[in-house]
Amino acid sequence: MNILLLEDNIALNKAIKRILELSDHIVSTFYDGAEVLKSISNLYDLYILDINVPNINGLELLDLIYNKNNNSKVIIITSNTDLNSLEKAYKLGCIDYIKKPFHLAELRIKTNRLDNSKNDILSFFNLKNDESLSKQEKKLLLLFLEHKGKIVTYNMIDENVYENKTMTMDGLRAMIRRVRAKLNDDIIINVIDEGYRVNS
Amino acid sequence: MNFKNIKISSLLIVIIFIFFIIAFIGYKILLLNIHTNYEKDTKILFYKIKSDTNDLLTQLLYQRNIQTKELLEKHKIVKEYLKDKNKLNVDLQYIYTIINKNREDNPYNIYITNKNLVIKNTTYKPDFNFDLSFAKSTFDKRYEQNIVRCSNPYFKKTHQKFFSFTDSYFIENGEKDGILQISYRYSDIDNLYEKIQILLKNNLKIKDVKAFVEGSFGYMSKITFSDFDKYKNSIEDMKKDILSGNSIKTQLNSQEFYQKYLIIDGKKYTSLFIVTRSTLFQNKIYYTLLLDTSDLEKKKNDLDVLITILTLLGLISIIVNVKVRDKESRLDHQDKFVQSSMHEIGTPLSIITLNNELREEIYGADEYSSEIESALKTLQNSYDDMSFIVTQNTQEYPKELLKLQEIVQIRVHYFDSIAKSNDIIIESSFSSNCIVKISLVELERLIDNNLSNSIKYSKKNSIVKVILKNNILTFKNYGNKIDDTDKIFKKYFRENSIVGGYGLGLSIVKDISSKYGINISVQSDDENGTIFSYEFKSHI
Repeated sequence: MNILLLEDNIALNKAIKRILELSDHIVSTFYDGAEVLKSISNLYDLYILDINVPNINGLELLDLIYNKNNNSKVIIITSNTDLNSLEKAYKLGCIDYIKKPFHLAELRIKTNRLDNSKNDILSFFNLKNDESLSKQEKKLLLLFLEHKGKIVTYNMIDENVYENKTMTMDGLRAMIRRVRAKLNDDIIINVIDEGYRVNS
Repeated sequence: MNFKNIKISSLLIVIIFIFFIIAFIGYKILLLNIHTNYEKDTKILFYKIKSDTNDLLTQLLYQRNIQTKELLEKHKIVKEYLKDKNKLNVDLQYIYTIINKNREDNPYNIYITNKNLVIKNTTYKPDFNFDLSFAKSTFDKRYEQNIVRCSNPYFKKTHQKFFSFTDSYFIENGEKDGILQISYRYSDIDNLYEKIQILLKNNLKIKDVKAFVEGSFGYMSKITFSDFDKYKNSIEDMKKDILSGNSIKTQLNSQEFYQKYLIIDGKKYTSLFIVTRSTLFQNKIYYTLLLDTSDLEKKKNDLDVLITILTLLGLISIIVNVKVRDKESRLDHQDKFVQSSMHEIGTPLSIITLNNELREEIYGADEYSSEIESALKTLQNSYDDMSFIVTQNTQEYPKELLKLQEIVQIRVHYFDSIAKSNDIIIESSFSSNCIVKISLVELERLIDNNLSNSIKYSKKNSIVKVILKNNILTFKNYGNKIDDTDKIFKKYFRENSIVGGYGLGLSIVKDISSKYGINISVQSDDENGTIFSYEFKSHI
């Protein structure tokens, strides 16, 4: 997911970013409400906002975000003593909250629950969980999912899955083999000299 | 401004201020009232004196009118009788009997003076040797006019009675040879006189009375109202009386009523001047009354003392209030301090927790990570207790239907690592379908505090047992015996101050239990350890 994180405490911001990145999310970090305002036009899949941040607080941002896109998903980070803000946040439309102090698992469960792509992968490929899949394998499956019924070319895989790393045909074949082994159904079809296809 | 935000001390100050204003207004009104009352009393006194004196005067002068003729007749008879008699030596008893014929009270008396106007022969013995020369000018005037007159009523202090006199010179060889005076003592006026006397005596405010009846030729005769003043007739006295009588007349300056305030020996008095005149006759009686206003002053003083006490009380309450305000704002600050602390602790606690977990996930668990985790969980439990207390009054946690066993299991699992690092083993057995209606936050506080206490107060390497059977949740541990199983639920009470803690945990448990009707029972002895049991009301 493409996640916007607003947390003014640098260390906490770092820790949350790491956790989210471990779950293969792309995280844009912010420390100041006013900065978020400038980048609000980028459409994020999820916003994680601390309420008490400089310049523009989380609640005001929440309002602005929903004005821009009514389908936005927002998680609020709040302290135990600030439950009144939480009530306001819910009224404004936030989906979930995380109370400080919190555990890694809590953050992970709450964000992943909102990760549609992941949920879609799981249901489409008939998997119970994604624990056995590597980061690259997940990206590959997502690529198939986005282009189901169409050919996914080697080039596309190179760009989307390998990104900066060098792709070799041997490496790719090995990955496809591993993925096939993990999937219950054999639905990845070879398209010779072009790439692969997954039928819808 | 939100009314709820007004401090109680501010409200108190406003109330005290209003109280002050009311007290001050009350003071002014009472003062005015006292003055008005006093003036009213004085006026009433004035009118009573005036009216009673008027009665007396009228009666006196009515009698005088009748007596004038009578007295002149008696004078003639005595004068005739004394002709060719040695008037200074003659026995007057015979003629005295004659003139007093038909009068049992013997109102007529005879006085005969020598050449020097000193009384040398009289039917009234006390006046023997009394010098009448002070009235010489009057005698002379009458002589020149060649008339004998009945004088205006004159008050004789020695008798405390009113008299009228007739007087005429004896002429011997063409020369004045002493005076013959016949007096008439007014009767039937005693009751009127006494009425005034009682009026003046019974008024405790009157400290001194002087009254003078204005007689012929500007003479003033003093009327006394006191039984004790037995005056001797002396010319000096009479002259003094005439002077004082005339001074009252001057003070009044043709007014009926005049008062002035004076201070004698530091005490305040009102000097009252009154003149009253008979409605029928010209004669006047002049009064001067000295009224003791110390009564008024006392009332004023009492009022002053009262208002002073009130002011002092007000000041004291303001001082107390200021102190209370101080404490109030200190408490306010403390509350804010705790709230800020909670807020400040939340972030670093999250950072430590997350980084510890991240490290464990990336590099794998080592011997330190579980210790850190356990300490963090203990810290989090305290943190949750504190934030629960802070938000308790402002936050209503939503109630939900919860499977008791599920929650207890999660919490026991959560505390496992804490137990392990404290060398305690948690043994649990669950068999319950109990569903309770409670907020998750409160149920967690109840379970967590029991688990935390059980671990904290257990002996090393002992077992903590958590048993959930139907709707009864039991925590059993082996530690020191609890002496007072009631006191431990009190806020800030710590059975063992060495182990530490805030003394909040069990008080929170107690609050939650009473709120949800959860029955608590505690047993503690050295052999079987300590058992906390909670009987939940299961939701059907």
